[in-house]
Amino acid sequence: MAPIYRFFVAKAQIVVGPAYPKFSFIERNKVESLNFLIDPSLPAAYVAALSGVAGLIWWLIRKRQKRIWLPTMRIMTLESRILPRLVFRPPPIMSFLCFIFLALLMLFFSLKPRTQILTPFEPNQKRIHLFVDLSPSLSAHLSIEDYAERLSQLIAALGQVGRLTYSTSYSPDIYDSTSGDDLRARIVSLGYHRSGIKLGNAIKKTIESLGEVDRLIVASDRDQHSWTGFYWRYLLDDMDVMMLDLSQDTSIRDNYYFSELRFASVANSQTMDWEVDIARNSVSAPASGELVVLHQGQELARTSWTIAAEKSRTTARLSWPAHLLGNSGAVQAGSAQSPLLFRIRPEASDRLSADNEFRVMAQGIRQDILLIADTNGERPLEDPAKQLAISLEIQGFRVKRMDFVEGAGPTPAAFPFWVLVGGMGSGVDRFCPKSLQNARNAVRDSVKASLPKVWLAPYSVDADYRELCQCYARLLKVSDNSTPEYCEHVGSRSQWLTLLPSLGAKQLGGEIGDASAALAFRGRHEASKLEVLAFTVPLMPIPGTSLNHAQFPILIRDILQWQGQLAAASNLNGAGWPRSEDATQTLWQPSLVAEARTRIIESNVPIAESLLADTDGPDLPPRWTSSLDSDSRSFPLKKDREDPLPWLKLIAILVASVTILEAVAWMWGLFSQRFARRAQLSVVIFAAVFVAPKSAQAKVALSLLGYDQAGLTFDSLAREVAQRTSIELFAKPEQFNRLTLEAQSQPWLWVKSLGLLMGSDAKLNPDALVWLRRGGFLIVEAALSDVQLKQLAVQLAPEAAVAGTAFEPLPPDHELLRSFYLLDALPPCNDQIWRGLRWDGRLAILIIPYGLLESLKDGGHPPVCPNPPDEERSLRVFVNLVMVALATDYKKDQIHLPEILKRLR
Amino acid sequence: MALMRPSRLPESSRAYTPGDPINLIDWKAYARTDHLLLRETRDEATARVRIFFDIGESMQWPREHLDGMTGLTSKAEVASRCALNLAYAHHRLGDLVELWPVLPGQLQTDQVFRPRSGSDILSLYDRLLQTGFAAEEWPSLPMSMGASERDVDQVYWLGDALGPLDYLASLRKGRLSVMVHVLSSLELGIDWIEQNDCYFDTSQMLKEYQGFALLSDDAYQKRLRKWQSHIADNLAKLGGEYILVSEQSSVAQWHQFIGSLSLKLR
Repeated sequence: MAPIYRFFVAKAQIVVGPAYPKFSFIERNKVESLNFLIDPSLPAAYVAALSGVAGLIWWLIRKRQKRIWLPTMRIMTLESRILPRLVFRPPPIMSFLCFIFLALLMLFFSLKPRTQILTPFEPNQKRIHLFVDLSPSLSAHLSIEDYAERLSQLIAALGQVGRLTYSTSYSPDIYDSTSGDDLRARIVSLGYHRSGIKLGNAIKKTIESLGEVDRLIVASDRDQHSWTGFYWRYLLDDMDVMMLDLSQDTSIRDNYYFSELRFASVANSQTMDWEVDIARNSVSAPASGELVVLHQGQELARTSWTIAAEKSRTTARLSWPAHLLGNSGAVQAGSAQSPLLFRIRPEASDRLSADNEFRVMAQGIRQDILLIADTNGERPLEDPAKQLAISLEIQGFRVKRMDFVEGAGPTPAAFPFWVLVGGMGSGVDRFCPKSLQNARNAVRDSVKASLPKVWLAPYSVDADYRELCQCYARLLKVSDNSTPEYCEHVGSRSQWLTLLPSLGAKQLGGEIGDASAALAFRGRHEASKLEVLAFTVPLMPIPGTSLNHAQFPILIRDILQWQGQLAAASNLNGAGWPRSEDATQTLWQPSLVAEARTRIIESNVPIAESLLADTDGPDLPPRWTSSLDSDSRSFPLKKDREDPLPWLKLIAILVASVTILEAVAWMWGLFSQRFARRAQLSVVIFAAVFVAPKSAQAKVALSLLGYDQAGLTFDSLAREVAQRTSIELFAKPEQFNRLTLEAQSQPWLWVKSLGLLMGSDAKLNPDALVWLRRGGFLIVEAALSDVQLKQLAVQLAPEAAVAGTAFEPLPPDHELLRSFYLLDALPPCNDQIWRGLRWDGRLAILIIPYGLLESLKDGGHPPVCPNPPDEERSLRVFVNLVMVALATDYKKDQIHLPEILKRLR
Repeated sequence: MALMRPSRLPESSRAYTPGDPINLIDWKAYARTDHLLLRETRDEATARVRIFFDIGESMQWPREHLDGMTGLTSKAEVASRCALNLAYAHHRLGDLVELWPVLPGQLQTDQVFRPRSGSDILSLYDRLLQTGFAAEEWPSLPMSMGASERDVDQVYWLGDALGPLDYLASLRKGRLSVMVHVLSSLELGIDWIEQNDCYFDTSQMLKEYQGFALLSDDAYQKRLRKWQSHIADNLAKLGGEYILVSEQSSVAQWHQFIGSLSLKLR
């Protein structure tokens, strides 16, 4: 195969370098690894395009001749404008080179090198990729040899159509297919894997590393687990997708598999008990078989099981003596790390054999502990280590107890974990073995050895801490039998507590900076890794340490877990040998360490694969028909061309915007030429072109405060006002129940009572006062007493209120009587007349002694007065009121004079 | 101070011809005879003369702007020389002269130089001659603020009419106005330009043409003539004079022009 360097720039493919250089002296595999495809992302294409444009512009500018200033150009208006108005200045060469360099750098960094492209770039050949599913469910349909044979037949048929690559569900590696034999050998050697596969994930990753493909063929069965989540139709834009269906005899689906395994032993049990749920797919006849459990090839137990007719599952129980997996010597060291292998052997035929094996981590394996403690008496309650021994045993440890050390003590390798309880005043040699010190000395400078972990605890609160200190020093500090001087002064727990940190021990428990509540201190010998946990309290439930019998085992368990001597609870349920649902998440990971890979290869078959459930036919891609002369027209057509519409739209938008810009520039030129000497004026005129005048609208809504009437409308009134004047009144009033900001933005406000505008101190609301001063027009539809009126007036116009001239009857020449209709008087009611407060040269507050709106609303009724005004009169008054509210005394303005005179004539 | 207030004496009367200032028409005579007569007066004392001369950016052309050409005289130098000459001539006639230089980057004229004697003008001329008529020389001169907006008797504008200032507005302030249109001979005749070079303008219009566009069909000359006649028309509407001057205009021609002005004025 010839190496080739390919660059994809958007859709264009550019071949760089010599087309097919001969590298015959390089081995084929090495040549393959030299191939790479560079697949730039879209931004990279943009960067490249912009760089190209920049280069072109730069070239154009550099190409142009000298530029010479000629002042009279200012007056030139030649018809044919040779060059655009924009002045291109040649960029400084260094800056430009920097820009180009950075652009190329960006392009380089945005390129993503890809490996494993084995298909050389041959535009005239179809590129076909075959994905081989090797998930366990396929083994229910055909043997691996048959599978390989089918695939080689397929390759033989496809080889003439185009260039073929293939990959398997084992790994993301892509192979170039040269012959069917090659493929057959590879498939047979790989075999089926035990993990399940999600085709969607697998094919997505494959295509990512593969680049462009014209046709994708998926060799698989119709297993629901594999096909779920694979939306193959989205690939049709880029390629044909087909399926080589390998499903056979889907009607027979007898399969036996492990449903669930549970470790059933109680703590401290002498046996290992397991409960195994065995399930099957069919529920017809009764079935039976055998269940075996193996460990490192050695059979531990065997039982038989039976599934009754019409039942789909059964539970088998297995039990074997714990010593078979313990320290009996029958199994090799590291037995805890190797899994238990459960195997079922059904008597009836079984479609899928891969799921007849199940691996779990061995559980319940015990560790030995050497406990050295004097009994201190005959009765258990007097034994300082009794509770500790029980707490350790229920965690699954095998406790070997010694009352005192004989000689140097046991060898360190005999026990991985030592607990020394001392301080009884009978001498340090009695509980502190010299063998550990000797072992530590031996490894101090040579190879590192793993020495046991040691707990050192006082037998009671009143222990002889000097002995404990001597033991601690013997284990970690001194190398001979001497007693360090610092231990001579240790007489109490508090002294022991202060000494330990100065010996380099780390505090466990208690507060930071306050060692008095510390539970223990951890010291460590760096060379030998000998670790001593020196407890400061006795390891027993006593009131002095507030440890009770219930808390004590939990404390011991937590310390064991923290020290790593006891697996955390979450690790106990067989993790490490999971059911692997998707090989792309496990097998395909390149960073797997060898041990993890072994486990994954031996991982358990997921239940979904064991179920052998088929997905529906319509959800699957078209089938590949094995006839060699199958017409390619039967394949679903892929989209050959990209949809040009977005590009056309983009071009249209560009053209339109360029045209608009050109028009604006032209207009600007026109204006600035004409008003060249009056730049500000020309800007104003130019801007005025674009400022569309807002159409003037004379619209007003009745804004009512505190009317609280649902469905209050003024349809007929609005119609009348619109017919009579050029003002449009909204039929629906704007109602407010308090003086909100929106209400304050209205030009007028109708109220029935002043309560809503008044504060608690009988004064006007500050907001209302501001609104009135700012130009608001308040209409009160109520007969107010003189006192009320004065109170109201004194806040807005104090001087007038004091003089008593604030609220006055409206004179006959008031604008309210002549603003639209010429009225002779305003209708009184119950001897109450209209009054107005004049402020700031306008009518600010108007008091109507009756409900004017009540008589004008839809379905309204005349006011309750001795001589109620008729409707026409009310209407005219209202129209005048609208005029005053909107335009105050507009007739004062001389500009209206000609129009008024014209009307008067 | 009495001299500042001219008392006018009638000098002669003649028939009105279009272009004459309207304020000189003898309306009483018109009422009597129905003929428009001009009653030309003469200031007994002095005339106020204001001379604007543009030495802005475009007037600095072509000095140092054209490579390959040496010995170029900028338009600013021509305008300065003419302005000083005019000032001297008027000063000799006893007029009050104000010199208003339009400096580069200036959008309104406010600095004014008022020579009090003929030697002032001569020493200024010497000084400018030494510095090569550089525009930078002007701010160092003893100038005063020319805030006076009072109309004057005669206004000159010397410049290329390409600067940012409105020459017509300045000329309108005088009862009589004269536009001395100063252009370079390189602007008047463009036989020196190259076909493929680009010729541009630095103003906000940013116009740019290639040489062949200017040369083809005599486009440049046509446009230039149209522009000159447009300026001359504007002056005629004001009742003013227009004269085109370049560094190649003859001194005799200039003296003739000055002489005709003096005749006309007096």
